[in-house]
Amino acid sequence: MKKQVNYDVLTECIIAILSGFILIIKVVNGSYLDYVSPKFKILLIIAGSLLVGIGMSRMHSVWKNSYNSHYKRYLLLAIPMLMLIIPHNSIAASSLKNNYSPTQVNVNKKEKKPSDGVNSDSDKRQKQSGSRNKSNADNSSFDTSQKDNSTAGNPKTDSIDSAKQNKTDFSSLGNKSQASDGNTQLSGLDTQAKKITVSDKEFYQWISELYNNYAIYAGYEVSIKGMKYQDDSISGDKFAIVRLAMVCCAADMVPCGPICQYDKTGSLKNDTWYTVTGVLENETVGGQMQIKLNVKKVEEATAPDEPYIYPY
Amino acid sequence: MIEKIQIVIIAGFMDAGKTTYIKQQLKNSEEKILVIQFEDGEEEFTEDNENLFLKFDREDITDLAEVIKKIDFEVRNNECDRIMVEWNGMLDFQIAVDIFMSHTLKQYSHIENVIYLVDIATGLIMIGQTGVEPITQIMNTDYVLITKNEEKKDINKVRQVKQAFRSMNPDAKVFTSKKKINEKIWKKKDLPIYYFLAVLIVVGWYIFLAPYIEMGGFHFNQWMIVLTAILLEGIPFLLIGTFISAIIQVLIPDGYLEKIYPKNPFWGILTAVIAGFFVPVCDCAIVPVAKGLIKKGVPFGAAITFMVVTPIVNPIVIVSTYFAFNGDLSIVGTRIGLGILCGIVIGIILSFDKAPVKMKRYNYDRICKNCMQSKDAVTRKQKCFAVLKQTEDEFYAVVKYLILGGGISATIQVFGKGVTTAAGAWPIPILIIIFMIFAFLVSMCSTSDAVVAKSMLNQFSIVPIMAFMVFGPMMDVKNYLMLSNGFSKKTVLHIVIVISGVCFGVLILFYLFGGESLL
Repeated sequence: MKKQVNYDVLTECIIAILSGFILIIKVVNGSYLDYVSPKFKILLIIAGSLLVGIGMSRMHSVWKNSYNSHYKRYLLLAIPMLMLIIPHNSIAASSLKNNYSPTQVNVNKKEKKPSDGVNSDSDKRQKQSGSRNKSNADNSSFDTSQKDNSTAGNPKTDSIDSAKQNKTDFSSLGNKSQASDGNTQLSGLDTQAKKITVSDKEFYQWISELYNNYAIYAGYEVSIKGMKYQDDSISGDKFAIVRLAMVCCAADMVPCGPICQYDKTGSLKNDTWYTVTGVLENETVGGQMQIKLNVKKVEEATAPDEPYIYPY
Repeated sequence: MIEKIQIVIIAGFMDAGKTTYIKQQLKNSEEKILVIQFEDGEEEFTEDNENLFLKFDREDITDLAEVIKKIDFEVRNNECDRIMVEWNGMLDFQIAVDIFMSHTLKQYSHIENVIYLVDIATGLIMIGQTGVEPITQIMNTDYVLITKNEEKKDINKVRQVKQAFRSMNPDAKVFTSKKKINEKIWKKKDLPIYYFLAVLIVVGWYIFLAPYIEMGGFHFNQWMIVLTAILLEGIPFLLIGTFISAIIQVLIPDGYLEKIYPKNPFWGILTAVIAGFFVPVCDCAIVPVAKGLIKKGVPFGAAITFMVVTPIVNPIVIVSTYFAFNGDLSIVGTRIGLGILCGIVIGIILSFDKAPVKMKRYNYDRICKNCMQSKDAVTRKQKCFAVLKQTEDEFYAVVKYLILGGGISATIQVFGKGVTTAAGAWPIPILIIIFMIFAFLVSMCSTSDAVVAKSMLNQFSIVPIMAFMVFGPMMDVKNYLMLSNGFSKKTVLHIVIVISGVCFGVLILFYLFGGESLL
């Protein structure tokens, strides 16, 4: 008997293999981060390989006739995969009202201490931060940071990797105490000028650092990029400059960032990216100290490459 | 293109009334029909000039090429409009496929529909006793016709048959009247490609309309991202869960667990709790195992404890809960603790009350399609294939519940904020009941329900969420259906009431002893 292709099984194979590859590609190019936090990387790769394996294992039946197919069930798998490849925008902060948390993301509503212990290093940090007081927080400072990178012996100019580069820069500068310490070193601090330029990559680390060691940084001029956010409790001449923190997946995002005091708040648009420069102050809200920026300057900015931040 | 000749295959057991049915069709039809018989029925066809008849014995089946040649010869020499096949009740359906979808016959004919006739009185018992071949027919059938149901009194029996067929082939439509099925029998089915086209059109419109939808304040974009995120989080756990469960089902011989399980109620319950940690099987696969245990003489209470505890304490469920709740061990611990507590209480109650346990005589979920594959698998390579096929089947069977549950959760989160904020303030006992009903209805697999539960934590306190995570794996629509396949209605109701009652009681206690402060 002449062999003929069984299209049902072929469809089944193709959908399974394609789905597997979509998952793996999403992990490789990093776009899975729009949906879930980085800890799912390995799980997604396992799932992708399993799907590819399932698809491959069915290949041998492609030449076998069968009558009843289950197209509908393959379509089921196609739904999430289609949703994955359909273009989408990132979630706007204003759609997550009432979830706002100024500095700490405790989605499980439990007090969790952010990493501290950086204050013991603050002296040491003075030295190296003098050599690089600029970061890639916005496009205007991009050129300088590029120069910095090359002088530090690291020719990479990709702004996405700025935080990583900063880290490598430190070690290449021979700052042994930091490397051995194991703490994440934050860049953009200039103790002489009392300035902090927060880079996109270090948004969350910096705001928890500012919150936890408020005493050290009070009066510093902080430059930070985020979306303008307002809700019932933050209104009038106040707004928050936030980024969306993803704890586990897109279903539990929390707008997170410091409150800003600015007399021209009304002229700013919600959900638009701004680079805010202001003096670090504090404010007591409901018996709790919160950090606040007394805004001096607001500039419109472009969205960062990674729209969300991943606190854990 | 020339219209292909339609083939309708009538399958079913010998006394299901196939010949009678075909005779009626011939009588009502003006067309020239070729009837091909693979059955030696009591009733014979009377040759007439209008239609053509062809008959094959069991011996003829050994040489398929010859059968195909004969049919081909018949069709080519005597023009016929349609073909009706009376398929032998004890023959593998794959043989019919090999004949009628062979290269020769496929050129000018194709199988339009398969109809399975089942005798209301004896059909189900026969199916449970006659092995694999009838199941292959049921799995491939498009329509099921319940025959010999002239009195139409036995509604219960009809429901049983419907349920049984749904468990074996969810796509088949079951009919009780010949009139209704006659309209469908020669009707062409929608090509599956239309489903894909429909989806593509929806997607296309979505991309085109998305900006306008958002402008209307309808956060469809957010809804989609949230749903995709829940699915992306749930699918890996679901896949890994079904994979490990498939390995167990293929590698552990049938009945092995039943054999080594202690028969004493006390040790039974204890074993149930401990074994759960080592049996990574979710709630979808545990019901048949529990039924098998009861059949082999394991005390009813202990078996049910095993059924309700395993899906909660299984390692994959623990890991997925740990991941979903962001490494919060107190949540993981509470879920396990409450699950075990419920299981033990349920086991003790069922051990002490003396309600008679009635099992049905036939039990078809043991003759699942995959067991056939795993029994055939002898070499290592075959076993690998069997594991992957089993994973695939189970995954497709449960992924729809994940999509449903995720969809509801995403909708609640994105669109129902006002409603749920109000509902979040309702008294906790009412919320517990609501979440238990929710868990029952969405039937999520326990390997991935933590993800959905977590996504609702913004709106609700931990106690109702815990109700969702503890009750869901123990009892839901799909477990209920599987149980009612094996037990009498009364027994199933008994199990459901005890499980729900104990679960509710334990959760209320959890609430009273400060469960809310867990977070």
